[in-house]
Amino acid sequence: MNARIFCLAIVLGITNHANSATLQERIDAAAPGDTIRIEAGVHAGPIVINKPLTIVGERGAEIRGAGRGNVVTIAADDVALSGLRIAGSGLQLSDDDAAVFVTGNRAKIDNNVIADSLHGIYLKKISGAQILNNRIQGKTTLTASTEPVEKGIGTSTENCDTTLVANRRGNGIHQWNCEGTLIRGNEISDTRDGIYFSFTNNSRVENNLVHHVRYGLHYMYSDGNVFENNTFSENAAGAAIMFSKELVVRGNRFINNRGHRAYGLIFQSCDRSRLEQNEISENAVGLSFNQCNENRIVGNRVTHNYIGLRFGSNSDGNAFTENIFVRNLHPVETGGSDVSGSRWAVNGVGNFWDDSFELDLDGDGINDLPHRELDLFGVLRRDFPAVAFLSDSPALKLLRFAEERAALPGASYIEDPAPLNSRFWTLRAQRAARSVISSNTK
Amino acid sequence: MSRLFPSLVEVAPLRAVLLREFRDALINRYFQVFSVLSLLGGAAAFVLSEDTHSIAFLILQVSLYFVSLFALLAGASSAQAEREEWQMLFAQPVPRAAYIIGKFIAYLSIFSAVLVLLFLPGLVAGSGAQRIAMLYLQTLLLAAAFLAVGLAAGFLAHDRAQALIAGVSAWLLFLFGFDLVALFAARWDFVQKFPDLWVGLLMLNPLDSFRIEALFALEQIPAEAANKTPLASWWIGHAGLWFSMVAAFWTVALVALAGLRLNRWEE
Repeated sequence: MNARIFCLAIVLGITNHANSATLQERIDAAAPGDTIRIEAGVHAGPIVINKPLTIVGERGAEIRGAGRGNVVTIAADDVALSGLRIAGSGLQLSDDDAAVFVTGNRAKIDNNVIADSLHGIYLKKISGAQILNNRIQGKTTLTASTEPVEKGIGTSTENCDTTLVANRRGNGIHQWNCEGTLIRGNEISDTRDGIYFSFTNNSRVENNLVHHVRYGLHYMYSDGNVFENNTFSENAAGAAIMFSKELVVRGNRFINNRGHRAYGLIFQSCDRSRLEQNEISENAVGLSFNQCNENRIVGNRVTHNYIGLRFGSNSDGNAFTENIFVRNLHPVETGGSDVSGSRWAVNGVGNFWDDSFELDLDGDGINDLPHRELDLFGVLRRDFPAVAFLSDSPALKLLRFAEERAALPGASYIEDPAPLNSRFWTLRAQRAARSVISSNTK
Repeated sequence: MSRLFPSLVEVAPLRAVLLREFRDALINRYFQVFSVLSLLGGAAAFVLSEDTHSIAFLILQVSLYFVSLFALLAGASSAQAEREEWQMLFAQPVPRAAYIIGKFIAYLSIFSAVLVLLFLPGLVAGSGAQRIAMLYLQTLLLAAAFLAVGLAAGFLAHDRAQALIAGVSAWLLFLFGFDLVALFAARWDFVQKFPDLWVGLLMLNPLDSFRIEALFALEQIPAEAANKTPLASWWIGHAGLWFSMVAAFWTVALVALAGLRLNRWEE
């Protein structure tokens, strides 16, 4: 009996010791590969994890920083962090303060709530990180960035712009010089930029929701990445993807990014990439395309935008096919640029334009006459912005109607040689169904 | 004018004219066609819209083209309707202005009722009661302005054909001519130096004012140009107020012009 009481006393003593130890002490005492469960309640940060550990928060567990530096620093490889609320980082942009600062490879950060911090998760020079199902909310008491969206395109350095004053917001997920990151199922709001990519290659970003930030996705100098099924809504710009190549941007939604100079998707100086099946709706400018070469833009829905497609200069070898342009006040803006270097149909299949004249004598779903999409304002938008008051004017519609029949001299336009009509997709589905039946029969 | 305005306060003759005009308006074929179009337009907006948000946009298109045109045609037609009867009508103890005011009020009242057919489906579809109500009021003001254009064209013309040609020409000028001139003028360096002047002239066109009010305010189109000049900025900020003022100005001015013309006929 005495022996039992003695053993119980030892166990209770150890447990009591574990509970009274600080979180950092428990981490320091743990062996590599251990799992540490963090009980409900507020635990003081900052903490540094310098060995492979799995840290799991129980319901209601929070790590709260002191308002200086990072809250959690992951400095070792193979660390997992989940189920926690993490808050209270420093607010110095020049120091890259973050709720979770990661310099170890293959970190897995999932199901955490991150708030009241400058950057949410900062990944620096690592590979194989997984950022899954986190909720990151920026510090709303800090001033949101009011810079014009276009300002600074191409001028940022690899890190966050340190010229900003300290009391500005940081980014939701910030990556610099990383490789093979997986970012999936996160919700990010009220940060400066939602997801920031710089010199980060071969990563996947999928099923995330980013709203009420400046750029949903701020992306540059990063190649070979895949963005799939993300939603970027109510931001100053849905996504700004710049100075990169060989990307896949598929099935994303860029919606309701409005304001004087808001964009759905800015694609600038990007080459050999694929934009497929995205929905770009209710933005000031749906898709802005500038100095991009050899890209394939396929099956995107560009609808209900003030300007559907802004096609800038020096873009060659791009192919647009099966895209749907519907209910945009100005479907295409060329700004007087030479657009002859890009193709508006591939293998005889163009795009769907809601104001295209429908003449399809052979019933193949492709109109028999080319469609000219006129940009009547041209360089006037830049030289005389007040001309925007003529948007949706009946007079402009009259000119468009005339342009469909005969090219107006001096007018800037793109020409789709094989515009689609609504039967195109029905016929394709029927062909596919017949093909399946035929192969099953064989 | 001195003979025009005192008569405005005489209620009994006005009531008599109103009743007469109500009866006439109900058999006016433009009204009948417009009623059918309103019903079809409202139903089309309901059926064809991809979402409730789009309904107001489609109604705006119907208002811009059809409401303005039919209000004008109804006004011109009405002004010419009793041309053969003027001698007899002038012999009645009714002030001349009462004919103009009576026609205007009667036709506008019927327009206000018929327009419900256009807007009701949008309201039922849940397109935002406040937005639909605002668009309804703005459309009614637009109808009033173009009814006045029609009345003026009708009373200034010598016969029905001339009235219709004048009225439709005015409509085409407001709808297309104004903006075409504005678009081509915007290319001149001289005009570009005075954007407020350009904007100011555009603001005088009730159709432009209506379109911009609806697009920028009701549809919340991003006002790319709003902050470019002080006048443009003010206009976007007060688009509804401005449109109301412009529509009221055109209405009063043209109804007064029609009244003056009628008085001159009598002389």
